[in-house]
Amino acid sequence: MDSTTTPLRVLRAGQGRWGAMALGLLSLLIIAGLLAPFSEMFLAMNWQRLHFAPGDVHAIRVSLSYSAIALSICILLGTPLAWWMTRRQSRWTPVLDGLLLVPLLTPPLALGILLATFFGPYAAVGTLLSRWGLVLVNTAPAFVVAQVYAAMPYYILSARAAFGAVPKELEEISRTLGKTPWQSFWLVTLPLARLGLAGAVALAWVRAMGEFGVVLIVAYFPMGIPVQLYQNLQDIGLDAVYPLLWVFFLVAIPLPLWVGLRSRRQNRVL
Amino acid sequence: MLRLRCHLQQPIRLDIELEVDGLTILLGRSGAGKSSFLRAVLGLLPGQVEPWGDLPVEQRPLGYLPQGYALFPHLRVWQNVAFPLPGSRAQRRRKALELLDRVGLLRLADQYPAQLSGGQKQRVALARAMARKPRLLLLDEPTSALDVQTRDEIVSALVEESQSFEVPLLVVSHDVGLCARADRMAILLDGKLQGVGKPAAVFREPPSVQVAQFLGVENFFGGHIESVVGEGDYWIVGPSWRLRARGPRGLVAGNAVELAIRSEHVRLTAEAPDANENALACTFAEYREETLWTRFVTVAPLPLEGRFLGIAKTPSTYRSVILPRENLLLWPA
Repeated sequence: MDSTTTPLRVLRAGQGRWGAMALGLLSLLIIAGLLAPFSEMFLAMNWQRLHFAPGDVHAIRVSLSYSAIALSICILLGTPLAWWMTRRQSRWTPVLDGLLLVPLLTPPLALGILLATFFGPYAAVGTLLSRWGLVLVNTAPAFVVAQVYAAMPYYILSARAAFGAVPKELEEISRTLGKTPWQSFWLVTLPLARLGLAGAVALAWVRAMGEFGVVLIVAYFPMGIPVQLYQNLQDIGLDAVYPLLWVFFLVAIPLPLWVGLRSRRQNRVL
Repeated sequence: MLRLRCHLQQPIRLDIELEVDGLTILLGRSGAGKSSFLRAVLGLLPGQVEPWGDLPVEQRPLGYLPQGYALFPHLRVWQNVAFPLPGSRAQRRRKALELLDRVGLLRLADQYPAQLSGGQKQRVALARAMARKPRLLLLDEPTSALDVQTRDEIVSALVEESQSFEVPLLVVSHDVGLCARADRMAILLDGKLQGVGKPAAVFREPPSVQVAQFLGVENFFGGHIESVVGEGDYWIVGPSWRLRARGPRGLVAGNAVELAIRSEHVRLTAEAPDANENALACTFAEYREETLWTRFVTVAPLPLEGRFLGIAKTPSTYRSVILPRENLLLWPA
């Protein structure tokens, strides 16, 4: 029996190894394919004449500071909403979920147009707000509003998933151990959801930093990095795009990267 | 003695008044509303509850051990136990270590819950619940996650440890076996309590057919009172049998009654039926050894299930089956 079964088993194991190798190779190829266009950042860039175009530094400052504000707004408003939607399940919850998808589904340019017509100087809301001194077209607040509209739905959806992964029983146990709902949220829910929430923060950050379509319509000025890239391309040419793109990656990537590394470390503990 | 009252409409109708003393077991089938009762007492479910019904969850002086123990996975064992404790980190750690020492788990203080066994988790949850010095400890199905071998051991340890904290225990379970350790018991049937009292008394004289069924009595059959012998002492007749049994007072001839007997109380004898009281001729439908027991089923005149400890003789040895008067249970139908 052994003489027949052993070679078979070897053959199967060999097949498994080849299969795994093929899959690994395919995965590497896909990743390489996805990253290939980024090679231009090294190859096409003129490293001798590396310099910023006029307005680049301003764009970096605008993108970083306003994205930080937009992100804070997303976290402050989105977190309670996501928690509420997770815990107060009713027959209307799926409807709310569906409605949340609307801004996600809308093409950014169209969302920008909708925002401009809603908050613009000829609309009722826009007129009312401008009477209070809040002009929401081509201003810093408009820039932040555009980013919030672009990033918030992503944040809420991810945060919902994060809260949904925390067993309700643990919050209840916390209450039976003498903690108020608020304390239970801080001591139990938030620490247990923090990986998912960190992912949501990273996603919202990337969305806010990189948003072009909405911003283009609502807040072309003050120019953030994506609009500045567009302007550089049109006014100067490709040479003016790469330095700013480099800066964009250097300032946008650290947060999600840090979150990813932290979550990996924590997974090992839990 | 602590008296609990609970009135619920949703998600299930409950009307419960229960005295808790020492270790009290509340039995019920799954879906009977046991967990709803616990959740209402804890304040996690809206309902009319006494005492503490007007307090928010976090102010009720109750300890709670849920089915899965619900330890916080992001906290170390000592941090779990220290969770309800006030004070500085050092004070909380010292007190938590004291509590862990009491349940014999001091060495696991710096582990995470994921690294513990089921029994260890249960003891950590106990130490955590006790850290608040509750007036009553509630346990939800403490044996459901345990296999039979470790069950008795873990429950014994749990009961001893809880009793060392001198807190009354209310255990909610479908596990009739837990009654062996209990001081009091009650059964939740159709939203009401039955069979309330000391387990020995309830097992000896189940107050109703449903209670007897719940406690695992196997043989039930109906008949009529033929005559009253004395107070609560009757002759009962069926289609082709006549038995003497004790039951509640005040029944009169002609009353329909329900009789029952546990399988281990059904005795076999080699004597003729007319040699003994409550003896009936027997014909076997089944007769076989089951591990240490011999199990049999008789047909006419009464279908009865019986068993006795020991190796079986051949069934032809036996000529009659005896239903001892003191073991027959009797209720008005």
